Amino acid sequence: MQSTKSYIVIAEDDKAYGKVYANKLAAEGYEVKIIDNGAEVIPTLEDRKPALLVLDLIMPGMDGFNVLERLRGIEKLQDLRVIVASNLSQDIDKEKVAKYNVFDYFVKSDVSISEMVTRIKNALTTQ
Amino acid sequence: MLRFTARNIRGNFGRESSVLIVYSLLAIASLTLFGLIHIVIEQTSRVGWLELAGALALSVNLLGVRLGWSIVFARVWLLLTILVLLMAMLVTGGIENTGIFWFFMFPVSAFFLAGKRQGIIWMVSLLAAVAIMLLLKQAAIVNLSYSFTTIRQLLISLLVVSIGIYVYQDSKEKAQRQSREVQADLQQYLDLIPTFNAKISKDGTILFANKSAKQASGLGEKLVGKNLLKVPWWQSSKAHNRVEAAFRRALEGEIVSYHEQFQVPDQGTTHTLTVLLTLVPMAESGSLKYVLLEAKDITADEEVDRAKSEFVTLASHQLRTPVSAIAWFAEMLLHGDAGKLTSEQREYVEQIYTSNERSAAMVDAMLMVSRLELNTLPVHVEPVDLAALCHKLLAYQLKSPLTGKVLQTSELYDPNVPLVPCDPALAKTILQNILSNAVKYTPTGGSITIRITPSEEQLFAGSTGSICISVQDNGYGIPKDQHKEVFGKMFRTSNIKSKDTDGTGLGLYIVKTILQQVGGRIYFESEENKGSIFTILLPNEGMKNPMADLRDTKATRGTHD
Repeated sequence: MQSTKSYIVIAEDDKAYGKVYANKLAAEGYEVKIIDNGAEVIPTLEDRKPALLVLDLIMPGMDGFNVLERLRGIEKLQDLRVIVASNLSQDIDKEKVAKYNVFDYFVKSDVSISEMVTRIKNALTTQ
Repeated sequence: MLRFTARNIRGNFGRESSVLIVYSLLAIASLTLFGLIHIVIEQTSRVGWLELAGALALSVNLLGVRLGWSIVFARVWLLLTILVLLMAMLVTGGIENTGIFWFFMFPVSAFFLAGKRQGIIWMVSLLAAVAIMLLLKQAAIVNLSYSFTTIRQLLISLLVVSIGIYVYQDSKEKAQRQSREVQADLQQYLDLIPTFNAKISKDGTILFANKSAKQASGLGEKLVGKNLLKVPWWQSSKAHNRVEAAFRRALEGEIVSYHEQFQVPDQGTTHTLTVLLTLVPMAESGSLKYVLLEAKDITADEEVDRAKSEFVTLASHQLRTPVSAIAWFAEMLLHGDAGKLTSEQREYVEQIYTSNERSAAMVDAMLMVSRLELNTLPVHVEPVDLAALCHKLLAYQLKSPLTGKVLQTSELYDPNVPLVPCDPALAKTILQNILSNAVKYTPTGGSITIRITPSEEQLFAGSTGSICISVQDNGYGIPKDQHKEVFGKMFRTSNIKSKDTDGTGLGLYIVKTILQQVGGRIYFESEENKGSIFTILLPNEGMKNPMADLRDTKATRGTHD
C-alpha cells in the first residue's frame, strides 16, 4: 500500500508533457496519476487526496483557475498543495496565484526537467 | 512719394495697377523734365508747354487712381493722354521734334497696360491718327513738317517693337495659362485623392485643404481659416500635444512623419482612424513660407500588421510545447532514465538537444518580436544593480560550453552608478544579447571590456542624465557597408555567416526595439577584423512603461522605424 505522501496528481492535457511527468516522477519513486481533462480533476481529488497537485492552466473541460476556484469551496481539499504550471509566463497572473494560495509555479518551456523535479520535491518536503 | 516702392505699390494696389502707376510716374517725371528743358533751355516753349500739360494730365490720373478710380478708366485716360500728346507734338514740332522716344513708348504702354487685344486696338488707333494727320497735311489743313524717310523708318520701328512686345506678351500669357492649368490639375488631383492634404501658415492657420480633408473635418469649407490645433481631428489632449510638438518641429525645418490618431465625424458619432501624419516645411529663399500637411489612412495597414503579429504570437506559443517536450525527453535520455546510453547514442541525443535549443531560442525571439510589435510588452520595474547583472551574465557566457575559447575580460564598473529602475527580465535580455554577441564574435585570445558609467546625456527633456553601458571587443567586427542593417531583423553579417551558423539574427533588433520602447538608446562603432563597441544608454529615471507614452524621448523621435 503506497503512502499518500508520494501520490501526486498531474493535470496536464498535453500527451508529451504527461509522459514526461509520468516517467520521470515514477523513476523518482512517486506514484503519479495523469488527468488530461479539467473536468475530471475535482472528482479525482475528492476520490483520493494526493500529496501534491500539479495543475496546468490551459486545459479542455475546465481551466486551471476555475479548478482553483472550485477547490476553495471543498473543505477537505482546502490544505491541498498546488503547483501551477503553464506554457507562457504571461499566463501566470501573480495576483491570482496569490489569491488561491498556490505553493509554487513554473513555466514549462522555461524549466529543465531537473528543475521541475526539484520544485516538486520541494513542495512535497517543505513543511 | 518715397513710399511708392514697387513692393509697396504691388501690395497696396495689385499687379495691374502697379504697372500703370510705375509707368505714370516715369512718364510724369520725364515729361516734366523735358517740358522744362524745352521751355527754359531750348526755347521751344510750345512743345514744352504741351509736355507739361501732359504731365499734369497724368498726375491727375494718378491721383484719381489713389482715390479709387477704376483701373480700366485710368488706363484709357493714360493712353488717350499720350495719344493726344503725340498728335499735338506732331503738329506743333514736326516728327523730328516729337520725341521718337514716344513712338516707342506708346506700344509698350499700350500692350503692358491693355493686354494683347486692346493693345492692338490702341496701336491701330495710333496708326490711324498718324494717317489722319498726314491726310490733313495733304489737304493743307494742318501744317506738318516731315520727311517721308523718317516716317517710314518710324513706322517700321513701331511695327518691330510692337511685334516684339506682342510676342513677349503672348508667351507670358501662355506660361501663365500653363501654370494655371498645372495648378488646376493639381487642385483636381488633390480633390480626388483620399489622403487628407492641407497647407498651413506659420502661425498654424489652414490656408488650403483638399476635399477629403474638408469632409473629414466635418467643417467643409469652414476648415480653411481655422487653426490647425483647433480642428476636431484631434480630440484627445495627448493627440493634441503630439501634433503641436510635431508642428513646432516642422517650423524648425524638420520633416516630421509619425502615426497619429485621427477623429473623423461620421453621422453623429466619431470614427477613429490611424493615420501616417507627415508635416513638410516649405521654404523660399531661406525662410519658411508654410507647412504642408498630409494624413494617410493606415488603419487597414495596421490591422494587417497586427494580424500578422498576432499570428506569430500564436504560432510561437504553439511551438513552445513540442520544443519543450523534445528538450525534456532528451534530458531524460541523457540522464539515463531510460537506461544507460552508449557513447554514440549519447552523442546523437546531445545533438538533438542542442538543435532543439536553437529552435527554442528562435521561438522565444519570435515571440518577443511579435510582442514588441503589438506593443504588448509588459514592463514591471524595480531597482536593478546593472553592474551585478552584467557580471553574472558575463560569467555565465564564459562558462558556456560554446567553444574552448579563452578570452580576456575587463569589467570597469563605476561605483557612482546607482540602482536603476528596470524590468529585470528586459534588462537581462538586453545585456545577455550584447554580451553573448561579444563572446560569440571574438575569437579565442581576444578581449572584452565592459564599462558602466554615469553619463550626462539626457534621453528626454528634463532627465537628470543616464547610465552608459558599453561592451567592447576586438573580434570580427562588422563591415562598414552593413552597418545600417545591423539592427534589422534577420541580420547576420557576411563575415559572420561563414564562421558561425548559430544565432537567430533577431537579437539586436529585439534589443533596439526594447530600448526604443522603454526610453533607452543603443548605438555602436565597428570595424571589420578590429572589433566592435556597443553602447547602451538608460535614463537615470529608469525604464518607462511604453503604454504610458507621454514623455518625448530622442529614442522614439518622429520616425516609425
